[in-house]
Amino acid sequence: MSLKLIKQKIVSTRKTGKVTRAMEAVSAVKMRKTQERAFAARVYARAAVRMLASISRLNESAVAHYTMRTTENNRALLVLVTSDKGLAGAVNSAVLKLADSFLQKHTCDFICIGRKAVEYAERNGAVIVHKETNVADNVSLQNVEHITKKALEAYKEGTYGVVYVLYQNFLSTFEQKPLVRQVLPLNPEGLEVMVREIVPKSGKFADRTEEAVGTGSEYLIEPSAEELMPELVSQLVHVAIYHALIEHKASEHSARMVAMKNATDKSKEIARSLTLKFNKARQAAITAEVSEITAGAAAIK
Amino acid sequence: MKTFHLTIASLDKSVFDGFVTRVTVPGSEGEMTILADHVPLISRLSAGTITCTDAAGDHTFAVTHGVLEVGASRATILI
Repeated sequence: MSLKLIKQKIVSTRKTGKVTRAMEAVSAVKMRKTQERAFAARVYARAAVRMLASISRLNESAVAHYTMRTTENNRALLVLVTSDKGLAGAVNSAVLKLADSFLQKHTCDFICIGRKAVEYAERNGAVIVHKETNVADNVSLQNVEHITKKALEAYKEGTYGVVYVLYQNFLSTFEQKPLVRQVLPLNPEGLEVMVREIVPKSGKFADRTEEAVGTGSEYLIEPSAEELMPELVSQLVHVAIYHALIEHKASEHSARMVAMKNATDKSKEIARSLTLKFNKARQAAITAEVSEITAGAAAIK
Repeated sequence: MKTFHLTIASLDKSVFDGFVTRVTVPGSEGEMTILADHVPLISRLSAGTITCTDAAGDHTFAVTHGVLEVGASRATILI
């Protein structure tokens, strides 16, 4: 390789390194922000779960309508959450892999969130009930609201017997796992686990402790449990889907951060080895020149 | 006056969190005011404004729908 070519390569490698480093920094900030949002949603989620528990103690039949499978309907609705963009390590492929194995056991229609999910569903020729792409990082409630509404309506009409959500669960910056959760019929234990797990396994937000759950006091319910349940159920479904989106965003950003960090490290390594090669080539050229000159001088003598 | 802990939370943020002496909410069966030591209650809220009073004065929040839960010495409103 000529000296000029090597030099060009070094420059371009360094430039790539700068880009990946900037992306790493951006992802780090975004990750922190999404984690904060996930934590802010916890108060809400915890209270909603607590209310569900109180109501189910008082009036089981009103709750049972939402917690038990009423029909023998095996059609499932899968809310598949992925990101829009790549360059984020194995986040999307992990989710889609789990979706593959999930589809072998269930027949599903899809609600797709994120471009990769839409592409996946289209590739499989599945029915897409609703799709949502370009969801901003600061997931707004409006985004989630109509997804929730669609899912709830379809469930109430009996089109689907079960509603699942599949997303990448955020455990820590270096560890994420794809996860399927049943949203409808409601699963009180599952919801409680979800609320508990909103805190990541390690990192800045890991050390917040859970406060004791309220006592089992007798509640007055107004107007009545039957009338209150729809509101509460829609809130709980809201929580579950919103939470999935937030978790996925946190996973995406941390995976991208790690991937970009690796890319930055690699670009530094390559730039170093190229510099070595460049110096060697330059030295070889100088040595050759010197030996030519000395040879020429010796010939003249 | 006796105070109790009030939390008003929407899904993406905590709207209010502190000790108040009273809170007035638009319940589905009509407006009601909650004071400390209220009997445990779960109620649906209709559209209107929530007014709570603490040491600093009155605070008002608009709601379109929500759920109120009153427990022992605390109240939670989800909007």
